[in-house]
Amino acid sequence: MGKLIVRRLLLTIPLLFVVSLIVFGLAKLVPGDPAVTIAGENATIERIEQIRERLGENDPAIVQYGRLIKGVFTGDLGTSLYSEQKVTDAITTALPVTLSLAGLALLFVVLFGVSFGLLAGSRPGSLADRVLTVLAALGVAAPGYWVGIILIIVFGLNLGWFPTGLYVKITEDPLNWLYHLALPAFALSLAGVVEVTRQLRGSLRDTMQQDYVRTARAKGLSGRLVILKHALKNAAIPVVTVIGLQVNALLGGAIALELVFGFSGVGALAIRAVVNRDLPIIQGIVLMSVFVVTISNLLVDLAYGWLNPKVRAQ
Amino acid sequence: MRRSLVALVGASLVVAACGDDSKSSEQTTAVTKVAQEVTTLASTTTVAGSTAAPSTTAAAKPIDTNATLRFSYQVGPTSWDPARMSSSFDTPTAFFAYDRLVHLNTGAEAIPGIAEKWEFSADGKALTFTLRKGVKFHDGTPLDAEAVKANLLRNAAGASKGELAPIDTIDTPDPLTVKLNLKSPGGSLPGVLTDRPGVLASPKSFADEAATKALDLMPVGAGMYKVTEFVKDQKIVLERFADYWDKAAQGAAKVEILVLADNNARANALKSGQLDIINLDASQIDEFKKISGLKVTEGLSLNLMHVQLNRSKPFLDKKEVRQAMNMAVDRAALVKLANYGYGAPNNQYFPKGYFGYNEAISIDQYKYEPAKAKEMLKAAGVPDNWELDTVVPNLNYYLTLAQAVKDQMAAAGINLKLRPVDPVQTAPIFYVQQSGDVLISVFGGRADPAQLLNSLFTKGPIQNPGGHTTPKIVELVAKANEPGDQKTRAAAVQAASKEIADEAMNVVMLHSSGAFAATEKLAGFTAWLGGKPEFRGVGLTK
Repeated sequence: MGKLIVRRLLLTIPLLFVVSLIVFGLAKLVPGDPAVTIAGENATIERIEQIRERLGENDPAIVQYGRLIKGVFTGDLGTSLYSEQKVTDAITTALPVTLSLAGLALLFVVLFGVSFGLLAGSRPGSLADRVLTVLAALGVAAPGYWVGIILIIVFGLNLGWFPTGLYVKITEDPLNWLYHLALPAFALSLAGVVEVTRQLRGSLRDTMQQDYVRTARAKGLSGRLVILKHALKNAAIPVVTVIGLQVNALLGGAIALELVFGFSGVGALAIRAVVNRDLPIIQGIVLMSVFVVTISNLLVDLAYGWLNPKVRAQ
Repeated sequence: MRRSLVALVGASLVVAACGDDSKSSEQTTAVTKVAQEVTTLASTTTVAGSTAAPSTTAAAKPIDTNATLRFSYQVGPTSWDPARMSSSFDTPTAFFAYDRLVHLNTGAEAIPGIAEKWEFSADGKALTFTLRKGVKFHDGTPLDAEAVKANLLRNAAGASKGELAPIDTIDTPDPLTVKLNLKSPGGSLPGVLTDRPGVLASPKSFADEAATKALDLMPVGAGMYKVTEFVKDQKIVLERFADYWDKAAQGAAKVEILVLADNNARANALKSGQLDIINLDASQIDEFKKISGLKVTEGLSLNLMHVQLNRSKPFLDKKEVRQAMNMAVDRAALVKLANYGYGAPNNQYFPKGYFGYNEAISIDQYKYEPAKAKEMLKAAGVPDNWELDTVVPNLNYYLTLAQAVKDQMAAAGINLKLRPVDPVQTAPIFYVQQSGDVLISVFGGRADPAQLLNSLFTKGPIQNPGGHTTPKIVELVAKANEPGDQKTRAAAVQAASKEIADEAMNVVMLHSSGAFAATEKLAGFTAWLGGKPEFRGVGLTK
């Protein structure tokens, strides 16, 4: 297990390198000149040139890229082109917002997805199964940000049960944090809940027809015990894959919901950085995303091992 | 949503990049109006001239001096370091924490701030400010002549290089006197110093490199409120500054500013009671006017939409051709189409109600007469279906406006080939590379009208690509830059304006409107012609 973790983490290094090269190349190819923006509204040509020089924009591309990479290896992702804000500070301020949102949504995905999946998969063809299947179809069709807007209108503005947005730090007030996150996290989780429900329903239905399940039943075990103790663990493997993929989807989907609900998370930071061509920030966000995705994939692989001893043996 | 944020940030960039002072209109609208559009509860009276005190507030209901004012704006300051502030979007949030020598009143005229009065020498080569006694920065440092000198010299070497160019040296004969020695006419300086170039930070905050870096993320000003918490692009929390010189300006005990880029997120937060005041987009004004419990303050601003011509390109150097182009747009229709009826059609650079506005320039000087325009173009030798490479920032508002202008101009035989460009690229393309024949975009009002005239109509500034001008305009703009009392300067600006309209230098189309929505409790807030509201005396009633 330890070996697996180390190997996987080492593999991310060349990956990060390639990704950083792509990001740098894209940022340089896309036209736009931060110096003109920084110089401000009554800019003079002289001032623009002065800023270009300060930013090192006049250096050859390879020198600029070298500076960036050197920073990454020394743990210093640099400073925003536009302010004294350290890239690491910008990300660590924005990341808790996005992680809170995506984390709570993930909790909903697992909680609701597994519950609904069990409900539908354990009794295929039942009323509950049919209702959930229809709801799942609706859930797949509704984009998260749209659901978010509808939730704001209904529960925020008309009924007044929930705030319409604005993030509250967990350290300030944990209950209020949850209260402010509830609507966006629910909207964000919807697609994942549906996905997990459908996967679990399908794989549980297959598993339930396996011989060993029949044997367990024949032994006289209760239905609940058969499902929870015997069937679920085997049926869970494809579901874990789906949940792993959901982590990435939730992080991406959080961007749109952050905007709808007025949260200043990584999404808002990323968009601002891209519009401004703030290369150090873009680079930082991409590297962080690659890292988060790698870690989540690693966790999924470790979960396989736990669920299926055959994987561990390999 | 995502697109709307991009649009918003983009809009701010166009504005920054174009050297505009405004919010562009799609998402923008920190724009406000002439003083006649006033909130019902109270009014902030500010008197023009260099003797009036800046804020006296008379509210119908008493203001709750313990209240927290919650305001949301679409962007926060680009920097807290005055020498690095680069956008005029900075000021509505920054002026809570920073003060300046000179203030603007709601009619966009210079009035005393930290300086009690100012005076030009007889030859116009020096401008002397007399400071208020006992003013302090938030760190306790006295705001004296030396502090002002250090700030102005620093700002002049930084982001305000262009605006403060007339300043040669600065003398400080005594702690309350600052004498600016000028190397070029500085009539616009009092106005200029009301804005970012005049922002004063404690000299200790830029005493060394480490302090200067910290200043970028935490202001040490002398403003009404002191920042207690700042999260870049997210949140600014401020508390009343106990030693502030004008207590009447401090309507609230605490201020919370949330930076929310998305129009709907701001609107929802106000509707659900999480905020007290927000800025509105023109498309939201009608909706908010109908909501009970909320009030809208709406008005005309200095920000304008124009078709800017690179007059060094073929045919555009001919006056008759430019006049014909001016007759090929239906300005009133554009206001309806692109601005939801808010704002005002105009064919001069300054709006009605502003001291630079010239009554003698008739809105009918260039009536919409496409047939006549077509004839004039033909007479000038312009080919039929004349193609013009038209740069447009790639944002919904500008694209809508540009498409409408294109349709109107087609009737006069002008074929605008629209080239949507990334908003950030607008200035590099049209101003720096001088690519494109015309630009359809916003141009923001400057703190002083002479600044606008200088940038657009003299040879040299990058905002006049091609550098075309006329000797007469150069002479009139120079006069507008000369010091004088308000009346003399107004006359000089208006004279330059008239010549610019007669020469049809560009095609001015309309002045934008801007609006704010607030709870009924908000008191002391009025519309600001400058387009940048200040919150002097603004608070919440009990």
